Amino acid sequence: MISLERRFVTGLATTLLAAFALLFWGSITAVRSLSEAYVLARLEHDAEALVGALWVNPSGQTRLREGRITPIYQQPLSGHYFVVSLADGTEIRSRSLWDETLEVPSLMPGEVRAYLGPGPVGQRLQLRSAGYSKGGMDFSLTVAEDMAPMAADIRRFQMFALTLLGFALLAIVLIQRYVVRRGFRVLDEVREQVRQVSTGQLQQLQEPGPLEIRPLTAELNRLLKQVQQRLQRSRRSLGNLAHALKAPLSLMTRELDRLPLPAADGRRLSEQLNRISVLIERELKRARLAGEGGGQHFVPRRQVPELIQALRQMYAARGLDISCGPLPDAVLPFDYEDMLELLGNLLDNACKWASRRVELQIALDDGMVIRVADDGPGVPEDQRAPLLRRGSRLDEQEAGHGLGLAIVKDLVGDYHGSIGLARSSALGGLEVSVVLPLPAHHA
Amino acid sequence: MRLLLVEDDEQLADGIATDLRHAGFAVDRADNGIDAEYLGREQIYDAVILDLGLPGKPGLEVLRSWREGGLATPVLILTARDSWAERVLGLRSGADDYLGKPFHFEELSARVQALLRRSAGRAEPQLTVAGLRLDEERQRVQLADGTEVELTGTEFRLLRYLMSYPDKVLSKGRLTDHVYEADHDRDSNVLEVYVRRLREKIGRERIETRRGQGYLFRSRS
Repeated sequence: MISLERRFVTGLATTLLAAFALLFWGSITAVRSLSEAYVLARLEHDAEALVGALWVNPSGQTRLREGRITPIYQQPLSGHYFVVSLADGTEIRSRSLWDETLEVPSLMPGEVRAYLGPGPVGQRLQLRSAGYSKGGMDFSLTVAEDMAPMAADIRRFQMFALTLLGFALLAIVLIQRYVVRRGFRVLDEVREQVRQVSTGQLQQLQEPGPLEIRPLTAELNRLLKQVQQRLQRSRRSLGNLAHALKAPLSLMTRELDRLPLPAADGRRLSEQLNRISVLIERELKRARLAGEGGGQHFVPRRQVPELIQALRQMYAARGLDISCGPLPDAVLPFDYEDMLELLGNLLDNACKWASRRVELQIALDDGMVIRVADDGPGVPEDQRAPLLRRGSRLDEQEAGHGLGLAIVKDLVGDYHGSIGLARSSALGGLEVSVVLPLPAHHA
Repeated sequence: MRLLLVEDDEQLADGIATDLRHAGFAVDRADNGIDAEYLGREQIYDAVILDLGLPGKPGLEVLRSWREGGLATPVLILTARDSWAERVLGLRSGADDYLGKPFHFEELSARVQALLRRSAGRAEPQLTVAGLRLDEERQRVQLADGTEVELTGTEFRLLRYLMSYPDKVLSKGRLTDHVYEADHDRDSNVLEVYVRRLREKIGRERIETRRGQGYLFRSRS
């Protein structure tokens, strides 16, 4: 799954990392070349001072005037060295070299060479050699400086820069994440509303959300409304169709009941008429079902007591005790008309067969579990499976029983649920249990 | 017992009305919601059979307006719209029973009888008062000594109403309302004729005349 937030943050972090690396590399290179230039400039100054300190003593020997030499060249292995190579092959070496030697080139006057090379006790030196001509005398002068202290400074600078950049990177990413999260909080509201729509607490999204997703929320609302309207419209027109079809059917039933037909003929006709009625009834009811994801949600605490009350009224003459266990306090993403149809048919069947008591239990587990039990004669075990098979009518003596169960099976199928028949241990009659799984998006 | 039948399909209404009359009911008819609402308000019906899909005004609205107006007449909804959601809605709107179409007349008749019994506060299906047993199926009455007496339609309706409210003074107007249909000739002298004929059949002392008030059916001899 794509997370926009993660995308934003990783994208930003990558970009920043590349930019910072470039910055780091650039600054280190600049610092290094600057310090080299600085060292070379100092070596050149020292070289000029040394050239100025050279003199030829009365005995014709070339010497340096000690007082004019920077003391650093006097301290042993100080890292600052010089070597003067005279034309006659003699060398004047700084005292700091102690008894070490430096390989130095002989250069023509005016020639200058800057290079790196090994020094005493493992030092790495920046060397500057140049050829000079002074008072008719040609010589080469090499001045050297140990780079180690400079390298250490550069490393310190590197560490400092790295730490700084690291902290900056972290800070920017965190700030950015905060900004993005704040931005997405608006989306969270929309997401929460979508969740509420899916669990049935809301019919429509109220929060239109930020401009970027407004077309999405508007379209969702439009679709939600359309589904509702279509369902209502088709239910209304089915109601009208039922109304139109059933008046003539009722009339035919009546006429047939009154016709003085031979018993066999009457029964045959009446069977056919009954078949037509049952078929129409079944198909109309099937067509009315909203199935998963349609219609208004089912609120057991609101709708089940009304249904129980209706049944008590309808079976008032028989004085049935229709009881109902505790109802889950929830809004369930099942169409409530479908659920009333399901429960109504189950309870109606139970009432038809019960002698005194009918009991309904609804529980929420992995799905919605419905149990309807009665204290009637029950159904023998070997007849339970055929009863659940499509289209079977075990009980023609009680009108509509077979149809009721057929509708129940259709409904259970639509909701990917399961149905089971058993002997009720509490009441002794038939217990029908239906399990409807909650749609995946419910969680 | 006088019923109001509200059904917009004319042929079906004809059929049901005929059957109901055969079963000993006086039947008035309405084929739209507005007439039905008006007739129902007259409060003279013992029960109403109400279709829901009516022109003019939907049946459920008619029913609600009756109940809001305090009308307590038992109402049986007889409709093609018989999903459970609609049943619940119908019963919640004040109906007393609900029957889906198509139906057998016996079922309708049995339910109407049950409603009438319930509204008169009776539990047993047979109407029996002081040894008199009314056979509602065959429209006869069995006397205390076991002899059966045939009744005409009007006699049966009159006796049933009297026996439903024993020891209560019933005015001539009330009896006329509940025994005759709306378009019937309502001459109270005709009622007196029927009362006299009934007395001849079941015994003079059963029906007491309360001058200026009406008649009373005595449960004790």
